[in-house]
Amino acid sequence: MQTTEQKQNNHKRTFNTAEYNFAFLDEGSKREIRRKSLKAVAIPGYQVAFASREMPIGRGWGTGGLQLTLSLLGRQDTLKVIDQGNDDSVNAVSIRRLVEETSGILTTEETAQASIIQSRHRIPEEKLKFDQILVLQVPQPEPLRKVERREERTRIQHAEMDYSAMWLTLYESIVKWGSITLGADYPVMVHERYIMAPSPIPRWDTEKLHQSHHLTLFGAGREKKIYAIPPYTNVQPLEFEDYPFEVESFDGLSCRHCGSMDSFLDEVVDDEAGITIHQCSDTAYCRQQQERIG
Amino acid sequence: MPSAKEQVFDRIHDTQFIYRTLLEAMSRPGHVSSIAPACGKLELADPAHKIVTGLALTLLDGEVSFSISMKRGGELEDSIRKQTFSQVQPSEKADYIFADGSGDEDYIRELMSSVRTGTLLAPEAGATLFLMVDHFNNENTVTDQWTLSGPGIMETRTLSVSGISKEWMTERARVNAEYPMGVDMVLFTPGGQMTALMRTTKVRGVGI
Repeated sequence: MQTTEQKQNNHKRTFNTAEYNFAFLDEGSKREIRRKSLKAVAIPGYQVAFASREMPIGRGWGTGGLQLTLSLLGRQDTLKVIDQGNDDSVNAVSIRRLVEETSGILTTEETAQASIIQSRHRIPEEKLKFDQILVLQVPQPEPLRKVERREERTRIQHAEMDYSAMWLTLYESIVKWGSITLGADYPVMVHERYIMAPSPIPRWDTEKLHQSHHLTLFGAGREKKIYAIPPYTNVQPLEFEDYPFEVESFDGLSCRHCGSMDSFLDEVVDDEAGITIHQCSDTAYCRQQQERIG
Repeated sequence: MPSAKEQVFDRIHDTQFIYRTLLEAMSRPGHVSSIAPACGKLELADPAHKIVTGLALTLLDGEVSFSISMKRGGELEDSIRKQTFSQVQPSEKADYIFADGSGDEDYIRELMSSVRTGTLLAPEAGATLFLMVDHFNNENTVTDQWTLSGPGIMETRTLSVSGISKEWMTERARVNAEYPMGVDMVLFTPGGQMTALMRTTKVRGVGI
């Protein structure tokens, strides 16, 4: 038995085994998520159903991603958690603290130092390496939900590769507005077989999934689905020959902190001055750039 | 009394290591990695049984089923069933199948013609097949190489395997013809090395 004093001294790197299993989830839950994630890797872009567990954060707040992360984690891992590119937002901090407290592993804000990166709505600007795993939180895993609201039907449509309703919607958008009006969560075709929702990442990030060095896992806790894109897999945004896919344009704009002209920028409106200013969405990348220029 | 120096298989951390090695292997078909550091801690006489047991402890429980057709498989099947509460099923019903990579052609054809490949609505119900082979060869010393391509592989990767019947590969190509249905294969050696051939992996080579 440790005394309270000793416990406090050790607080940083130990955790009380009696209170939680390593990485919070029980081994049975981890095993199921692990089995499903392996099948997800086997069939790129296909949504594998899993028994999403109750987590100490609300469904829709990243429970799918968190369950994947907790099942992946080992004592050697270093975790980075980002929310809309930001390491310091409440959601990212809460998830990071939960993992720290229940596993005692190291966490980081440096993209290059992390072995697992859990992210909501962004892929880091820094190109991920082959030994890193990206876990994306997914609110709505079904790309066809916009055109068909019944799960039973969308499953059949995926099975039969019947994507006509999706293509028709894109076509109608061009007829009506002159371009495809989808922004974030732009649907992609994975390994020439399944249409997949890449989670609400901006179009800017979509191309980072194509033939990437790293493995990407997607977790939807509320919708109880896991899916994956293995490294070096074809990921094509849906497009027409005469209406090609386009990423967001920041022509002539740069980050107000680091001056970067080739990163994804957030718009910030300064009400007092009445002007719109821009800054990097990826805070870790921005800090790195600032340090480089001194 | 177990000595303090003796390493004991840890059901939390060693299965996590095996899972991550499997995930890595399945994400990069043809890449050879090793689960020996974890499986070596199991107290079993037969090295092959250590590897199978390590994989079983990582993947199996009462929710899934398995089948073993290897030398002294009955004994192993029994011990795994007792440790994991997973159900023993004939290979045509099993989620996870452990088999010898050598083995006669009729047997291989029979197993592969009844193995679960999933359905269009649920392709993930396709079985995972673990085959024990002798060893993976150094690329420079052999001529009998396979060329792999598909998801997880940048352009192509070469792999050479000793101790696998060609019939497995012929049958594998046959049951994986109707993607997304199919079986996912993991080849492993008694020494704990392993590599994966997923249903998406295209294999070209001598006699295949």
